[in-house]
Amino acid sequence: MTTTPQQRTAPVVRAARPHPQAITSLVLGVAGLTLTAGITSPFAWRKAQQALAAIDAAPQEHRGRGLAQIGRVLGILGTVLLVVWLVLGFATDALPVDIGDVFKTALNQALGPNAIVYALAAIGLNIHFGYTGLLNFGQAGFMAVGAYGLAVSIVILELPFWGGVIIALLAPVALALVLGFPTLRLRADYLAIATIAAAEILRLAFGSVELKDAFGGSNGLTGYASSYQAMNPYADGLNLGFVEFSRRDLWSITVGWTLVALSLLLVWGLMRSPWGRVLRSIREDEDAVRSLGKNVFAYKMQALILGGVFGGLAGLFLALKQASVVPADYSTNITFFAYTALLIGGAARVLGPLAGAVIFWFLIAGLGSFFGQATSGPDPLMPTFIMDDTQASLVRFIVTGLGLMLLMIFRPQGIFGDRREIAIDGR
Amino acid sequence: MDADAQSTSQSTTTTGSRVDLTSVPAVPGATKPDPIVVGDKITRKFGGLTAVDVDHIEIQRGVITALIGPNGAGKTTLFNLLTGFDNPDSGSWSLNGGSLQGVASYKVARRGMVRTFQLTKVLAKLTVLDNMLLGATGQRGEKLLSALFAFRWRGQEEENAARAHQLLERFKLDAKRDDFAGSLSGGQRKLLEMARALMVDPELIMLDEPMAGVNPALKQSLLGHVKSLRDEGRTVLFVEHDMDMVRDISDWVIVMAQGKIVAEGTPQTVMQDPAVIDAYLGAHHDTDLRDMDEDALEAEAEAELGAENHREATP
Repeated sequence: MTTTPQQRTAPVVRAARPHPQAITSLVLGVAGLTLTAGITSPFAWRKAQQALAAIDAAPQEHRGRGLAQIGRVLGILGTVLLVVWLVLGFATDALPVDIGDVFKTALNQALGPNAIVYALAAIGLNIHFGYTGLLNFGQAGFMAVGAYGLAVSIVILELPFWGGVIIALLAPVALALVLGFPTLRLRADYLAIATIAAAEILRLAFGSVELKDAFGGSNGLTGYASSYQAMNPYADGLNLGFVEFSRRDLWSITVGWTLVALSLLLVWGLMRSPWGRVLRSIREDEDAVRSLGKNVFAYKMQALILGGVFGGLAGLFLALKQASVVPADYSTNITFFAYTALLIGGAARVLGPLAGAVIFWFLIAGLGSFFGQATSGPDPLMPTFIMDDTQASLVRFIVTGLGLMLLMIFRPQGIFGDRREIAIDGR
Repeated sequence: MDADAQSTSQSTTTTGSRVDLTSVPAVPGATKPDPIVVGDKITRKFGGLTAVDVDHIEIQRGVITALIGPNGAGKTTLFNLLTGFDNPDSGSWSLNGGSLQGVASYKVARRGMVRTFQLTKVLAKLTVLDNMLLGATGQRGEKLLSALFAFRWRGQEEENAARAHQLLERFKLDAKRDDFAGSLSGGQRKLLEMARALMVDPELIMLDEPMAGVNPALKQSLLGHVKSLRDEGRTVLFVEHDMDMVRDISDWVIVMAQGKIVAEGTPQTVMQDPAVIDAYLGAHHDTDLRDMDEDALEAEAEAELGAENHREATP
């Protein structure tokens, strides 16, 4: 903070406010002792130290020394608690929760097929929302047409496997064209409404009794993945101690992470090009782009198609890895979880969707396993008045939501984002 | 667009050979010797309000034309109509003889008619250089299929960057080249928008209130920039409220009021035109109200009211 001569002569006119990091440390400290079981406490401690240093450096400009000190005490307490239960959990059997098992479950999911599905879906959303500013709330629909494109063409139309894959990748193109033509000339909101409605229509149509012959109703379709499984080169599963994959999952993650890597390479290649620059410009102000002679509609359509194909790829992979296509898998939830992954990682960053999907699944699976173990057994760790074992699987979503809120408040740009870009918005 | 051919044609058009507009009659819809834009019977209604009702308009090539008029006169709406950002209810207009009726705004820009905006539209989260590069036309790397192969567009990108840097130097923005455009001041944004429009290499550049929100010091340099656009052979049409600027740099002035063109002429003629002064500044703009006879003023006001009532009664 610079001090101008004016400030030195006259007393500071503006009201001194609590240092922002003091409040941060207090919030993190309270969260550490309650909901997050100590995980946020070291951060609270650190933020409190930073706040105290800043306040002591310029005592007349900031208030909130008391808040920072409370934050520090809470942070230290929570950190001690964290260390204690980590030691107890890992080293001894004193706790009814096997922390090693919790971490293994979390890591398995973070590196496993589920994270791949979300990473691919989020890569598509990154093109839509992150780069072009298109609000696609119907990524589930793109995934569904990808998955059903594969299943229907193999099971019902009896096409060969690769024919099914091609159809699975063409179906989202068709969906993007259908959704894009009427809505892309309008404001962004209309695309959001159209996509979320289309995704629901597709899910209900795929599950309907009337179309049972074509789509298998609510039981979905199976029996199309045999050629995919037949290509599996692994003889055995993989067990590295901290992660363990079955033979099938090992094959799926090999295929899946390869797809993710190729997709990221494609996105990186496109977004550094002038084409990517036009997309980012459309996100900022499409009238300005139009005034410079660019066909905004065509670019938005290309972006919608490309992101939709990644959505279809996510659906295709989901269909392959679990060898069945069920309409319930393509509910709106999946779209918003993919958005969550994108925002955690950082929108408009090439690696954002990847990091976000891995972290999202690590948290969801780890917390689920932890709360599951903590509430099970005759003498659960978690008192039943806080939660019982039926509530445990839901609490992980509450905690994840809380974490996302904290992320949006304290690091709105996500993990990979550029703080300066956010600062421009706050102008 | 063939940039080379255009720049040679521009270099032949020098300040000296600029068309003398003093012989053009100072009447609304006057015929110009070499019009670049011709519009006929352009109307645009917003519900019951007729925002633009222009019978005939011609914009002379190679000069600076100012479009002035009080707030709500329809200047910006006319801008939007001419550049394809809005569709008129009726009318026809053309650029270089080619009709622009129903032509999408981006195609209008490609034909050489580029506009800026009253509220500047810089791309805040892109760097100043990226803002500039977006303006370049005919980029191979903007096609999805060649975008992936950097060797297809790298050379062109470097040429464009060099041209962008020259323009940024001219507009004194070269120090900001790697900053986010969102971090620029209001005046710098105006400059950036103008520079970016020049990346398209337009024949006709349309500036919507280039001076709004610009401090007096920067105003002088902006004036110089606008003049330099004309001196390199481009046609400039701008909307402005700042009468000093209009007097200083424009070769021709078109005055709009309530959607219609009410007067045209060289700055000197227009500024003396009583119709313009009334429409733009009000009938008593140069009299001190304290000096006026109150009774006479009241009588005049009543007469005006009476006339208005009479008009309303007989539509």
